[in-house]
Amino acid sequence: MDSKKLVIVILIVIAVVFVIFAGYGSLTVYQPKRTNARESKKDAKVAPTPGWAKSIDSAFSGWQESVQLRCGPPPDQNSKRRCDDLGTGPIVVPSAKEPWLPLMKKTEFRTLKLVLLEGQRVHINYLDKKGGKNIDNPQFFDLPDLDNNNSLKGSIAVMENGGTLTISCLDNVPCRVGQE
Amino acid sequence: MLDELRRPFFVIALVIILVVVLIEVGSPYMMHAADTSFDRPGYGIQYLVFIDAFLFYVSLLIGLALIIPERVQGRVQGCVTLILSFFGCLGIFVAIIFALIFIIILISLLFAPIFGTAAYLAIYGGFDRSGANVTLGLLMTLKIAFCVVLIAAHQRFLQSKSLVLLTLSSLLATLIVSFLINFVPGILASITDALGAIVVAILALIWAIVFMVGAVISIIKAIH
Repeated sequence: MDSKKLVIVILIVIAVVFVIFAGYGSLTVYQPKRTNARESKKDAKVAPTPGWAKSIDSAFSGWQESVQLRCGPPPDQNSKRRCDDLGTGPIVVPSAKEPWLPLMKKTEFRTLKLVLLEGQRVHINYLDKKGGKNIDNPQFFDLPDLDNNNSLKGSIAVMENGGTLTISCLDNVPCRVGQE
Repeated sequence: MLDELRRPFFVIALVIILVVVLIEVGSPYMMHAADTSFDRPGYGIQYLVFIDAFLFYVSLLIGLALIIPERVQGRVQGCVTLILSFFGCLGIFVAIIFALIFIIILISLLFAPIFGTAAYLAIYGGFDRSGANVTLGLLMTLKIAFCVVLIAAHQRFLQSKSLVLLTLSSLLATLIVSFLINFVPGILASITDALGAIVVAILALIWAIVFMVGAVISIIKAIH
């Protein structure tokens, strides 16, 4: 085949494939509208985390900038957690580290994963210094989380300037909360 | 068979690929041209500029050969290409790191119920797929027009392997970004868009290295 004709055929094929992609994306796939934090929280509750998702999360979590909190006794060397006892009361959540590349901003979001290790019920409250971006401020939940299949774990979205985390044991029963 | 270059067609091709680059970098003038605005949500579309800038550069070199004497161009081209490709490599590498960090943040937010997931859904869950498709559609149309006009300018451009392969890479990169944005559930589009940006950047990095090696070889030949 003449090279000119071959190029025209290739271009037509590329154009057709592109139209199929764009058409499929625009017409057939459900696309949720931009939601506010309250609606998103409901969506997050109804979506259980599948096993493969946990594997991806654990693979990437080591790469993410962690939230360094004041920790009571340091965790055992064998512990997979960052901290085994955060204590109770207000805890200062520091701001994100300064970026190591020029033109780079501070990490906008960090996730703080908490787990109830001892006790019956605990209330977690986090007040971000800056807030905004459609995220609840303060963010609060109880552990075990009745809205999340009685999960003993819960996460907070921490913005770049940090904030204050408050852990309160409920029902007058001592509790211990760790950080993953 | 055409024997002579049709300059008007070639100039049109140059202008088209320049417009493509300007749209991708988000030129304020291009984004609001003729009372229409083109959205460039995400990273994928912006990162296409790494490949298309090389395509523009190669086309420009061909164009300059018509104006500047061959002897002068031969001396300058190697050095300029070496400098551009070196800084291109650095820029693309940094851009890959940016996109990688962004993906890590997105994934860690998505899989951190309840407030992490809620934050992800509220901020990144509604990727503007329609806006991206409009922009990608425009870019694809311009790139195909570039190919057609370039062939109309001179059929022998088809014999230039680097130009043909670079043009194909550009079209392929646009297809990859389009595929990754459109073939996943809407809430994951922000993640796959960033993934597409990384793929495109790696493709551009390969081209930058190829140009750099070619430039070094041509400089060594020129010295000897």
